[in-house]
This record gives sequence, structure tokens and C-alpha cells, in this order.
Amino acid sequence: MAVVAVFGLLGVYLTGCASSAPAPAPPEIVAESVPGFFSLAQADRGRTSYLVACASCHKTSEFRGPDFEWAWRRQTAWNLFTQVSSNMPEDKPGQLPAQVYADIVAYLLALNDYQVGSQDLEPTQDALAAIRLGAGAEKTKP
Amino acid sequence: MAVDRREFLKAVVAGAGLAVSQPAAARIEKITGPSQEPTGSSVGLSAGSPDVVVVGAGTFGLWTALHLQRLGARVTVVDIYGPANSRATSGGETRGVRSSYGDRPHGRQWARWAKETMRRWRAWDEEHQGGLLPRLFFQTGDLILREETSPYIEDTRANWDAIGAKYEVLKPSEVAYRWPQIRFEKLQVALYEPDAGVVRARRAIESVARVFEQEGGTMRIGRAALGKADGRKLENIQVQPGDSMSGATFVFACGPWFPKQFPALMGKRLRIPIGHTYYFAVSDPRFMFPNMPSYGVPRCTGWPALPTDHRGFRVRTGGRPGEDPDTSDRWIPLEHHEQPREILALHFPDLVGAPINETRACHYESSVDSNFIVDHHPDFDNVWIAGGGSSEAFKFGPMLGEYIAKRVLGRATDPALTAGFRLKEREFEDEEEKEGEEKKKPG
Repeated sequence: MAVVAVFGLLGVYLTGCASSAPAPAPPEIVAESVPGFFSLAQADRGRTSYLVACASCHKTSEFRGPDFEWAWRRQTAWNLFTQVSSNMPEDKPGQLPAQVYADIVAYLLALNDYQVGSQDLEPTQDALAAIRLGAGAEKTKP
Repeated sequence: MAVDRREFLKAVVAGAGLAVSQPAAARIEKITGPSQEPTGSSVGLSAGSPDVVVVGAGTFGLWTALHLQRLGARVTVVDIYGPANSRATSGGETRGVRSSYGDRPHGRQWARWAKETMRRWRAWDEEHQGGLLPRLFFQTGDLILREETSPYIEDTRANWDAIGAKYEVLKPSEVAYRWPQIRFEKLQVALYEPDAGVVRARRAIESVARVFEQEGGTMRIGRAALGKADGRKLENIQVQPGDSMSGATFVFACGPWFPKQFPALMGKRLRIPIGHTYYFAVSDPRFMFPNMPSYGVPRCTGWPALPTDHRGFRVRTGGRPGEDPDTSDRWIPLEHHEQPREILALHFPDLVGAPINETRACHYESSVDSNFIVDHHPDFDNVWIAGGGSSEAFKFGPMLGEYIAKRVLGRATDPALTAGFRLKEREFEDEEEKEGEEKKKPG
């Protein structure tokens, strides 16, 4: 999924429904079998947390594309999670709840086109270490 | 002046290189190594004005000015507050010199430069220490400690192997034996770089300024802005207070002032955050040079107190967003002071109650690719931009100055460096800002 598409979805999610057309019927509950690394709702929570905790110092371009791939070469989302949760925010490192850090990691994965699914990414080593980052990473789950 | 100016002018006009007196040549070679074959000059000449006006008396600007002068140019440096002032990025008390750059795509290039810059700092001390100038470079060695290996550790070692740098891979028990004052639970990875060290930063800049002036350079205090231009040629800058200053070539080395100096060009190509540094009072010699190395632990870098003034045990951790470098506070508010104490509790428990001697809050300027910028201003043929230090430039001053001076004078330099230091098209972007801009667009 393209980043733009993710942001489009996030935007709609945030603003409710931007269209003036009658709102469609609420979708059925998404089947649990939809594969992915994180949920759209989680990435949206992560975006909100990012804006509060990170955006005063960082621009999102630092966390996507080739720079992101190089910075996280040969590493996993667990490394990213521990880096963010140990060092950030710079004025209060490690002070946010683990779930909030996982939400921010989900947002960063969304920025890098990782596949959205129906389940939240859990702040556990097992879950996070299964997600490879960097060049050649598999961004879709079978 | 180190070089006969008439000879310099003759050589530049002829495009045939520089004639350098023997003593000056010997000194230049001692500091810079053998010079490359000249390829002609990009410095245009104007009677009665400096050949080159350098705006900014920090690491980039002053070292460049000194090397330009030693290569024969007549140079004036303009700085808003003066060299080594308390608002300058290079105006801090100390800066580290290490070559562990496995965290950067250009890390091997930087490591090679860092290895050479250590030699040059020692040479600078040998040449200038004594009289009123204090010793500047302290070879502390640098110790990197981690709970586990990582691409940073692996690539740092690969870079060191490639360039033939000296380093040691230490066992946790060796670290504990050599530096028992350091605690690191779950230590798995320890790299020691013996040639690394620490430079007295502001005093080093003062020394470069002094040598620059002693050798004939001109310093001026003032706020510089672009002045009159003729097409792609900048003819002068406006200096406040004062008047215009003409020159043939201009080098802007403005550090975190770049976004103010050139908002359209540099506003989104640099970020200018503030880094926090604390100096803790120590009387225990185990935390003084030469009894412990500079160190890098997660979330923190630092080093021992340096003689003879022992201003403090240095802990660099945390920071805050930076805004206007002319108005930002340069001290660290009390609410941040627990952070360094957490580091002390984790790794230097004997210092946990040590009082803070002083704090430093310095802007630095990060480029989009964390590499330096040495390139022409895109609107002018005779204007150069030198900056983007990305919190690492100070140590490279002796190398950067020589490199930039050669670029400005049109002398041969490494094409790979030229490519790496070019002004990138990319800018810092933010999805939120882009989204806002999209919404503002009509229809």
C-alpha cells in the first residue's frame, strides 16, 4: 500500500467522512484473518502520539524511504522499538507507555508502506522482532 | 603572510598554481600534507578588496579562512558575535574526536578523515602550544559500550579495518579491570579506539582566529547579508553595523544561522536542534584525564575532566527543539537535569551526587543526509556554502578547512567528496505540513 494511500485513510479516519455523499453503511467487522503488521487505527494513534511527542524535533522525511532503510539495515522492528522507547522523547526518554511506543512504531511502518492488517502490533519482543526492516524487507504478510 | 601575495596573484591570473616561499611551504605541508597539483582558480580578483570574504567564524569558516590565506588569498572573516562566542556551535567547552561512524552511509569516508584529523590536531598543538595558548587536544581514547552488537558496531569495525585504524575489542572483564569506575550491566560489546580524544573547542577556535590574524587575516564583527549582485555574480555583502563589503568570492559558513541567512534555500535543508551538555564537578582523579577515556553509552557521550582547569566530567544527553539561534537560551532548564543523573546512576555511580559546574546548550545543524555541504550557492557563481555539520564537524575542522579552501581556489579535490558534499535537492519534509499545503491549494 502506498504511503499516500495510508495517509488518505488516516485522514478520513481522523476527520470522519470528508465527502458530502451519504455515509455508507458501516463495514462489517474486519475478519481477523486479514494479514498485516499493525492496524490502521493503531497507526492513527501512533500518528497522534508522534505529533505530540516527536514532531517538534523531527520531520517525517527522516523516517521514510532510503534513509530509513539504511538506518535500520539488518535490524527488526524490535530494534526500532527499543531505540525509540529508550531514547525518545529526548527530554523525557522512556517515559511513555510501551503501547504508545508500539503505536509510534506502527506509524513509522505505515510511513514505509508496511502492510496494514486488522491486528494491533503488540509491544513485545516476539511480535516486533518478527518484522524485518531495511532494504529488501518483506512489507507484506502472506 | 605565509604566501607572497604578488606571486599568488600572478599564479592565479595565469591559472598556473601558486608560488610558495620555502618556509611557508614547509609549514603548509606540515599541517595539510603535500598539496595537490593546482587546476586553476575560481577566485576572481578585485583591486582593494579581499579575494575571499568568509561569513562565519566557526569551525567551517575559520579553518577555511586560514587555509585560503595560506594558499595565498587575501581573506576577511565576518562574524556576527566573533570567533568562539557563546552562541556559536563551535563555542562549547569541548568536542570529541573519534572515527566510529558506522551509523552513517558516508561513514568510511568520515572515518578516513577522522584518522587524519587526529594527526593534525596533534600537529596543531605541537606548532602552537606554549606561550599563551593552552594544550588543545587530549588523547583520551574512546570507549563504546553496548548490550549487544548492531549494524553500527559491525560497520564501524568494518570501516576501521578498511582504513587501518587502531582499535581493540574488549571483553567485559577487561573493561572492568581497566576502568573500574565505569559500570555497565549486561555489557556485551566494547570497542576501544586509542587514538581518539577530546579538543578544547572554544579555545581551539580562538587559536585558529589568532593564527589567522597573526598571518595577516582580517576579522570583523557584524551581521552579514547578501548585498548587490550583477547577474550571477555577488558583488558585495551588507555588514551591520557598518557598510557594504566587496569581495571576489564569498564563503558563507553560517552554521545554524543558515536558515535565517538563506531561508528559501536552507530553511528546509537543515534542522537546527539544541544539544544539551553538562559538566559535573569531580575531585576523584579516576574521572580525570588520563585515567578514563571518552565514552559512548546508549543515550549519551562524554569524557573525563581535562587538566588543568578541570571544568567538569562531561555528559552529553538530551536536547530540545531549536528555533532562532540569536534568541534561544543557551542554558539547560532544571527539568532536564535528571537525565544526566540517570546516566551517572547507570554507568558512573560514584558521581551520582556530583554538583553541576555548568551546562551548555548548543545549536547544531543537521543536513538531510547527515553529511556536510560544500557547494556553490545555486544563484551565484562566486558564492560558496559550507556547513551542515550534523553535530560532527568540529573534529574535522583542519580537514574541512583545507578541503573547502582548495574547492574555492579551484584546486583538485577528491570527486567522491565533491559528490558527497553537494547541496542536495532533498529537503526535510513533513507529511503533516504537506497535507496542510495540499488543503490550501485551490480546487
